[in-house]
Amino acid sequence: MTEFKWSVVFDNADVFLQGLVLTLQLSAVSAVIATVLGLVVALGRMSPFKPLAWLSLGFINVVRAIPPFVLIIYVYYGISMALGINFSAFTAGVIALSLQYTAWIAEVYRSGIEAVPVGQHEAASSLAFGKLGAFVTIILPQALRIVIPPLGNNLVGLVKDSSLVSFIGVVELVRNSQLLVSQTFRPFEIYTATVVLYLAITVVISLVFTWLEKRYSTKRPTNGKQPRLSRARLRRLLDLEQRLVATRDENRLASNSTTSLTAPPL
Amino acid sequence: MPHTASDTDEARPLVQLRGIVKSFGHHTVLTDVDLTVNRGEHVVIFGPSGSGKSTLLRSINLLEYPTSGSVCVDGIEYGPGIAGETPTARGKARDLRERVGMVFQQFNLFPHLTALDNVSIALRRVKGISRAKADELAAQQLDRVGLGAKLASYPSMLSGGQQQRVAIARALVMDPSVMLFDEPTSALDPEMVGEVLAVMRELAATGMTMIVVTHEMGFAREIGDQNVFMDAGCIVEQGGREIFERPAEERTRTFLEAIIP
Repeated sequence: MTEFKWSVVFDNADVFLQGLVLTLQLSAVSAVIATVLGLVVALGRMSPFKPLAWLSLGFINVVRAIPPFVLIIYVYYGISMALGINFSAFTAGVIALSLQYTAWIAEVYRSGIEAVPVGQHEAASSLAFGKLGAFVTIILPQALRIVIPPLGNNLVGLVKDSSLVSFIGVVELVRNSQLLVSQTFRPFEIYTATVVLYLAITVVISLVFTWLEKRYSTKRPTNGKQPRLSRARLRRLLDLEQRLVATRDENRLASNSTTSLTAPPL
Repeated sequence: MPHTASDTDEARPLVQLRGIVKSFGHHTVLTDVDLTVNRGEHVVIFGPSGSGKSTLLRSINLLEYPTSGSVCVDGIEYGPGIAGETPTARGKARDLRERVGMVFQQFNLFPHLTALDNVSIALRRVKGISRAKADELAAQQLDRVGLGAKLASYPSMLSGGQQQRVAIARALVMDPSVMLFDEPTSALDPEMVGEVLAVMRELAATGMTMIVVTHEMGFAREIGDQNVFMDAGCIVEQGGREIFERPAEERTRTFLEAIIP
């Protein structure tokens, strides 16, 4: 029995930090692109303009079918050969991860948008909202609330898949660990530290998404509080309520002599 | 409700449906339905489920676009028109819906908005009224339906009856010429039906033109100037209050006997 030697982890803390920073950069850039582009592709997929719908559906199905590792290779070697453009391994990694997760997240958005009850569309239409107005004001805000948990899942997946970019030489967390192992011959300690770092990232992501879910929930709050109203807005509404009470009393007093200009009570 | 109307406006029907046909594939839901509603009139549509009464109501604001037929509101024609007639200039569905308010069976409030924003959102986003002014108007409407103290509540924090009253305020704030009610109390617990009917009763007393699909026969008897019995996609019989006491048609009699204890 040999003993664990955790000092290799702490002695190389700066190396881990470099890897962590690169993983975070890679994931963050890709996550932002995929979250935005995913919505665009989802809208294309649901477009009444058929060629756009087919194009989006084709993109989603093809990209989802390609293993992430292969997609990274394709982007790094394939596109540079086909188009004669050279990009860094980091850029290739961002493109591949963004493409892959755009496809997944597009389907997440679509399911969220389609989960908004038809009655919401009807209510918006009956109030003379146009298609775009109804989507932006009524449908999308509800769809975004629905997709918060699955979006969080996908971003956790994205962070883990970012490790595949190590194959084309981006020295992120996993590649870093491989290099450290080859120097120290301490795979267990090194990879355990790596896992702890990934765990830290994913825990932060889940905490953020749990908070978002709670913050924007439309369910009946159990504590009777109104978490979503800004303080200024709440103050404005309470002020309006008080003014209603005041004018109501006024009208009541005046009702014998003059006709009230405000709407009669129902 | 302030409504500016000239004398000629007063004379002609406010809502006129002619030859409304609605079919889904081979299934015909409405067969050539005509209905005329005058300004200030309260129309009750009743009949068994599947008779097409909701579809007829929803065709008035083109939420259900007729297969053929003409919807005329305030003198402007909408919808696909009648086969054989020379086509006339037709209004846009959005313009129609600014004149026609609708209340749904399931309320359909916007769950992500406060009661006040539910009422003010269309004023702001459709009519382009400033937030301050829209808030003011919305608060007044909510006060009218007895919810002046619930401006900051979200729909999930309101009872069914309160939600339906917000929905009524939301439709009224647009200053419609006519209000459509699609079984407004059917989804409510029994103890909440009264508060919604009370609001509707008082709205009727203000002279608002109303078309109501309902199973509340007591309420129908009370407010119905024109009562329309539908079955199998057709209007079987229509008339004043006497329709409930002395229905002319056998089908109407059978239906009324079945639902009135």
